[in-house]
Amino acid sequence: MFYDWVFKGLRKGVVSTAYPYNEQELPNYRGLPAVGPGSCPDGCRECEQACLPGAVQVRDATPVIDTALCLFCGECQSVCPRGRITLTNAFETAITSRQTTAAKVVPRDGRLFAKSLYIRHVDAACCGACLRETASLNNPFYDVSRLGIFFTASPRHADVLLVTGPVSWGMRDPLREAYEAMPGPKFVVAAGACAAGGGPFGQPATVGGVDVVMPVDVYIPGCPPHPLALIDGLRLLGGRARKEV
Amino acid sequence: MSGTRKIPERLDKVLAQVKNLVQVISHRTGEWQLDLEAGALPPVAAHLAESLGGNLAALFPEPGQHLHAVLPAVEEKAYLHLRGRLAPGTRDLPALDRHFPAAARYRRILEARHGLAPVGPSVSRLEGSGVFQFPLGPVRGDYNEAAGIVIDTVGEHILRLTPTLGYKHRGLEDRAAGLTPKAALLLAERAAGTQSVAHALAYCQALERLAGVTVPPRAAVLRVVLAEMERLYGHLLDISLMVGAAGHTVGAAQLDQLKELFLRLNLSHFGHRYLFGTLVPGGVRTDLPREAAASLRTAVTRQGAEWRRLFTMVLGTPGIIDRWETTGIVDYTDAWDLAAVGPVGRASGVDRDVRRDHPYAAYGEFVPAVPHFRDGDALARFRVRAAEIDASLALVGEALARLPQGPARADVPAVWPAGEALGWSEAPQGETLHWVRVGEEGKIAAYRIRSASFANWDLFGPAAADGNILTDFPLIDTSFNLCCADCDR
Repeated sequence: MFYDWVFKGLRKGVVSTAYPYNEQELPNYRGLPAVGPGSCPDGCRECEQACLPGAVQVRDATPVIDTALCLFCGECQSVCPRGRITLTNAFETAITSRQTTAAKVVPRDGRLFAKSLYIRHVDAACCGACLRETASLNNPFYDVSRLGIFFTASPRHADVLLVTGPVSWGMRDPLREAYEAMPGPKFVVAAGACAAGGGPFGQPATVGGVDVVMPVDVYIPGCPPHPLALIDGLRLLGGRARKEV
Repeated sequence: MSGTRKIPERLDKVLAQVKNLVQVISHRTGEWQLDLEAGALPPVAAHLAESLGGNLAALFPEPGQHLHAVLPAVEEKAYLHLRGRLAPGTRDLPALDRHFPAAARYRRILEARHGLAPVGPSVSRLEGSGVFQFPLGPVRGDYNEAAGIVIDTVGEHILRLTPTLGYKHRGLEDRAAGLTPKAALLLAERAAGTQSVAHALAYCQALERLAGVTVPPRAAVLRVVLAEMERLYGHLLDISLMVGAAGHTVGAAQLDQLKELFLRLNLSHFGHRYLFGTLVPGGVRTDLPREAAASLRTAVTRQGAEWRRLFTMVLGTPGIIDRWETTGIVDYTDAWDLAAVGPVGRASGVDRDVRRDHPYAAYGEFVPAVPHFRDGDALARFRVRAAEIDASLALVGEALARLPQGPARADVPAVWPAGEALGWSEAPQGETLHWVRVGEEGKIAAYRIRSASFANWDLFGPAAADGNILTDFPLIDTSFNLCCADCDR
């Protein structure tokens, strides 16, 4: 039986993706919403009203989308009378600040982690989808250890705290304790619409996004973010990516 | 709404015995609503359960108004929805604990939600020499959900295991109040990310039953396909975790690959890896073109062949099977008394499956095979899941081959009519019940979820403590694979 498993693995060969060293496309993925040119009808707030988490705001007759909070449900697209909002397949959407949509390299102590990055994942009340996508990073298809990224069981060994889920009141203190237990220099990654933007539950039912509790270095939008989107976000850390938007 | 449906003879006879206390308000397909004084609820529920052979399925409190109890009437393929009227101004609820052991957990959650019980382990210390207490969580190792688990051990033996939930309470049910039914669907499918179809389906069906909307045949069959695709990746994930917990990382990686392939099929055919946004009240949101249906069928058949090869290999690996056998036993009496659902219940001989017992979508036409075992150990739970994967593969193939033509969505009212209804579905983890009340202006007035995991958490502690050692804990944990998100909501 032992040999069966060995041969099974050998026969399958290498299944890991080459990403981020090649281009990847996700044809049916509901990704970054794009706002087309033109202007909205006077006083039209259809998209704003249709958005459950409140990620869309109409400013100067143009919808402005907070990608960190977006659930990628496509409601705004379906109600827009002029068809200005379309969901694209773009998944490389990680950002380092919620004020701008620009992704830039994290300068702080970046090079220290260029070849080895240890992650501690904390579930701050996520529904389970972001958690499973995070776990998928270790499956043979995405296999992040080929990039020198590893998951660790203890915050004491971690460089990065990867948080999924809106921070519930019950998880606020445990999350803070996990952060405090980490040695510096340390990073925080908020993955998924709940952790990055607060999600559809909002305050006061939950505390809000992770940045309410602690400083966040990288926000990864998505509900849930695709494993490739997570890889893209982690690449922003440690000076691995020279990314300009 | 079929308001004129005749009450089946057996139920009529049983109800006649309590006719002074109970008033039948409505009987829609599969759901009978009965009205009574809350004080009469415990004895009447006990009488009905005994005569109809069911156990308490759910208890939804609506403080200040009603206490709703849900009982299945298996033979009639229906749920009895008992609405206990509370006296005005009172906050006391009648206790059903004496009649139903399963009622205790609903009282606990009620106290926690409305009296704000403390979050965090508050477990007494066991006295004795050599007793050691392991506090686990809420931040647990690997990728586990946040839950507090306190394990008391003597040497290697687990003496007691106490789970503490509530860390992940997101206020989902309260957030839904005041939203339109369409907006609240986004919350329903996020109750548990890996059971989103089951939750969305139960929610949509409650609304459809309320408004008397009939789902077109094509949508009903597509809903079966969606629900079974979810079951397939869900069970493969569970089995992969179980194999991993038994220490066989190679096997776990192989099964994980198969699960990933199913997730990719979901993405390429339905636009989302976890099938969010595939359902709407009245039908399905994304129709499946003919070529896509054909390619999905081919792909599922191919992955099915791979699954059967892996299944044979797992069964032939003593290192895995020996760890599962006699680990974490749940006996039939416990499973029945505490109203266990899903694979956990079926592994202990509770032969219940909502798809067969209360058919919804197109399950009346595509009847699934329901495997059940009596051993109640981790191996039995594996066997249930494995047999269900086989059944799901067959169902998906059959449903895709006989996909009716026509629209995939029915018209729904722009403003939802006021009323209340129950919706149900069989999630990968078991029976899922949603109860929705729509108030003025078609907005959700009250919403309650009874998830599958919620019904099974009570069994976890006793199963883990029963002669198991500490290193068995991951095996028992993964073989139950309880979800905290939809439990805490």
